[in-house]
Amino acid sequence: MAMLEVEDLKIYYEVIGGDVKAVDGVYFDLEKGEALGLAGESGCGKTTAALGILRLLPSNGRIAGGKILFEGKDLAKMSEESIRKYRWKRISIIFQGAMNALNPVIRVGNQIVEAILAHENVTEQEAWRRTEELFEMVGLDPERAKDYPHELSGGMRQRVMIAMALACNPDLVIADEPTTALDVTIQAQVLELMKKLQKELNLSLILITHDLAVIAETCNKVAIMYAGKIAEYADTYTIFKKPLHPYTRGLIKAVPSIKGTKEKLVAIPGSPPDLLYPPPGCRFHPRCKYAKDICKEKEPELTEVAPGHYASCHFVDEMKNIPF
Amino acid sequence: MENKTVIKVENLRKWFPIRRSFFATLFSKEELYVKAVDGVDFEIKEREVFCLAGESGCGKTTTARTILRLVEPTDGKIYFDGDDITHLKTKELKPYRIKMQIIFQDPYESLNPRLSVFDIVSEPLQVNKLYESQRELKEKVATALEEVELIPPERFMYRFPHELSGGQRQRVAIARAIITRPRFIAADEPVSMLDVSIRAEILELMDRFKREFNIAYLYITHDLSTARYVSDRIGIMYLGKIVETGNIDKVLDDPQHPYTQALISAIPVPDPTMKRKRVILRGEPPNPIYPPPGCRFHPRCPYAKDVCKEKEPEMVKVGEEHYAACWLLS
Repeated sequence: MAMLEVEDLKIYYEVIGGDVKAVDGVYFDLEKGEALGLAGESGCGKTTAALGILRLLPSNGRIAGGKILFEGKDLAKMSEESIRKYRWKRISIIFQGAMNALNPVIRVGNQIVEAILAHENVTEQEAWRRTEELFEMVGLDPERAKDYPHELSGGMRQRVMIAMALACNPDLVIADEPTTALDVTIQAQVLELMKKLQKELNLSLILITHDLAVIAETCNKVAIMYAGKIAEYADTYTIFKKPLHPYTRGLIKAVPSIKGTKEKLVAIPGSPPDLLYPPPGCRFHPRCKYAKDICKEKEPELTEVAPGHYASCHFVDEMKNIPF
Repeated sequence: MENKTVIKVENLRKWFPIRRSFFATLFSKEELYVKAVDGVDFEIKEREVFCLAGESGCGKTTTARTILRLVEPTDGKIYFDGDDITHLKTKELKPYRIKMQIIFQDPYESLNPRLSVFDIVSEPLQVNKLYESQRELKEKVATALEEVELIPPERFMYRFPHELSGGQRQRVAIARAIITRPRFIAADEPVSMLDVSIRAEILELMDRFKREFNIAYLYITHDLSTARYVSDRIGIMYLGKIVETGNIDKVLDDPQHPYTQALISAIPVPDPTMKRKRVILRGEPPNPIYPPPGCRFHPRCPYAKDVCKEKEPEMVKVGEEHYAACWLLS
């Protein structure tokens, strides 16, 4: 059994006019020490899925179905009291733009100490010692723990956030766009750090990003999301080299690369659907160049096309014969 | 046929003075400046895309704004079609303004939410009184919308920005830029806020106008991967200066300056089979108020020698259409 198994997860937001089906049947699993990339365009539900795992949804959001099995226990059905034992201690999260969410009037060290004291039964002194260790671990001078957030640069604040996520020795870290606001040279430093820590601490990582190139360099496997569903799910090599779903293919063809041959970039026509009124049948059909009548009527299921390679498309077998 | 030079800048500088407290001025006479742009030279020809690339705070956006005279240059010269426009007064500048346009990064913020698409796109014509009748105005707006593929134009003309997707909004911003038939467009990160799957369409649109209307583009980006697909030449900026410049493929495939090399090696590649050796730079760009002496890159440079700390390197030719400023090369 995998450490984390997400099965048919559904998360809906209640709004005027109905439910926004932000996550609508998502599957993935994660072993200890693995890194999973959750990729897709804005609004595809990747952040919602991550928040759902920790049950941190906004008040109008609810888990409408499915299971989130962490070591066999279903986080989706757990009481608020019991899930609190998992948050931060077992599963921590680096929120999107979190480096700007540090409290500006509290020293960064104190903010980490606060997190440790809230979850662990230790003295304040021990918590400070742990904080200094964490600073060393993420490549910051422990002296900087006494600084206020505005005294640190963006890259350093992101390191503080990583230190905070590791404060209680979690098994799983969810990182939501951890490097999006950073410059490439700083992004490279932070990604290198995350890869190093992941290996050293045998962490499991869920990396949420719209940047496929970041995933190609850091993750073992990838789930491509489209409009609240998993379009394709496989190991990184298969996703980038032998993708079968037309959306995955389109997405990879649209990503420019700094290396290799300069092939023409191809856009996917149209834009992602409104999740309040998703199109019937396959949600990708209005933008898919291979769409046939069945795609407009019947929703394809996520099927295993090869060991460990899942795709949800009616024409998966035909796609195998269309070269990528 | 030789393409004409549209934009030329020489030794362009933009220093922003720092306001200090009254007390601070009593105790020290020293004036402080943020040297956002500190001696930049380049030219852009018709049908050419010149890319200015670099990390945040390197001065690429300020360079564009200075060329458009949205901020006043501190020093240096700006030529438009051979005319010196560096110190023209607002009135004298007007005929040039029609020929120069800008596309901003964030189509969610650059369009006034209370104006309809018609108002937004027709504004440059209205401000400059470039139409005879209401009918002509409407026709021109319709043509511009058709050109950016918002078809049929009648369906989009009276919509408001919040009713459009990000890609459609950026098309509106482009329609506003091309409606005066400019010779020069500064595009400041035009696709960085858009989803990957629609970026290619917007870049293609810009490329089509380049060919159809002979536009000279200044393409500003931090993303060298997209720059590679759309630009003809590139200038890599670091802390207010261009450190390497030349033909896009030459600079990106065979970078000579250590900063360019590090920048390129830091960019992740969407191919898991490609294993590369990575140069990880130490530290972060320094404070532009007190740029380091000598070569500005020396505190982070893995190859820095003594001379780098003392003297600023000159731009030298390192190959055909390829220049770099580094002591290792001269």
